[in-house]
Amino acid sequence: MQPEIKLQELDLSRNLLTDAGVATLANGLAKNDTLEVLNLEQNMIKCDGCAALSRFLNANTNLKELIVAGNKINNEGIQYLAQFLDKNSTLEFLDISRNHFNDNGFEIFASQMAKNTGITKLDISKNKDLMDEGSLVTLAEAIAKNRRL
Amino acid sequence: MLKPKCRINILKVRGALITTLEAKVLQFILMKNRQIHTMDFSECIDDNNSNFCIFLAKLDNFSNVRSLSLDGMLHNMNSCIEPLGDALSTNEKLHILNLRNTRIRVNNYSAFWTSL
Repeated sequence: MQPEIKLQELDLSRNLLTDAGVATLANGLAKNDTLEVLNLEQNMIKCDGCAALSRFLNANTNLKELIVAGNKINNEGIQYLAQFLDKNSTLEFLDISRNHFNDNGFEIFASQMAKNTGITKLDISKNKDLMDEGSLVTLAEAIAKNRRL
Repeated sequence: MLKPKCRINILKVRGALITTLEAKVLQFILMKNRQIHTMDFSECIDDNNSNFCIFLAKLDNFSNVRSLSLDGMLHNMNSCIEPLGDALSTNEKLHILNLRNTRIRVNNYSAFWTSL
């Protein structure tokens, strides 16, 4: 009988994980029902990596912290990440700071935040392309609606 | 640390040079000691890139370690991923695994990731 791994925190920050690597990791973690903290800060995650993480989070009910700060997440990537927001209610902390998306991508993410009932801490700091007030207003409206953040 | 009366439960060996001798000693500690629950080998250096494998291969269900930190290892950790994955596939006790800043690539040993 295969033993049950009890890993609760996995820190893979500051490594060389690409989209393909994150997809492999997400597939591997699909069977894990104990992991609560996944730190992928400062890797090389782009669009496909976000899609894999989003698919993973759609089904996962244990992860509480996901850190993908300092990656290469662009508009398409942040839109993929937005897809899990209305399906996952257990993630409490999402760190998407220091990435490469701008207002166009973030506005969709921000509007999806209204449907999320789990996240209580969201870090979007130091996204230098995030300048427009419009997307932040959308986020503020979403926060007002979900009342969790 | 091999004796049952040992009360140490956190062992930090940061920044050490791990030769074959140190790796084997650490392996024995891992196998015999039932008290140590936290081990930190951050910023250690392995003088031939395979000594650490000797230790990591014993991180199976017989070890009692709950938290293992390998932050910023100063050698190529990719060669250690395979024995670590094999050991972890039978480990039900490890709760926290820190592989921060170790320059690892997923593709080197995909079975490690699927065993998580």
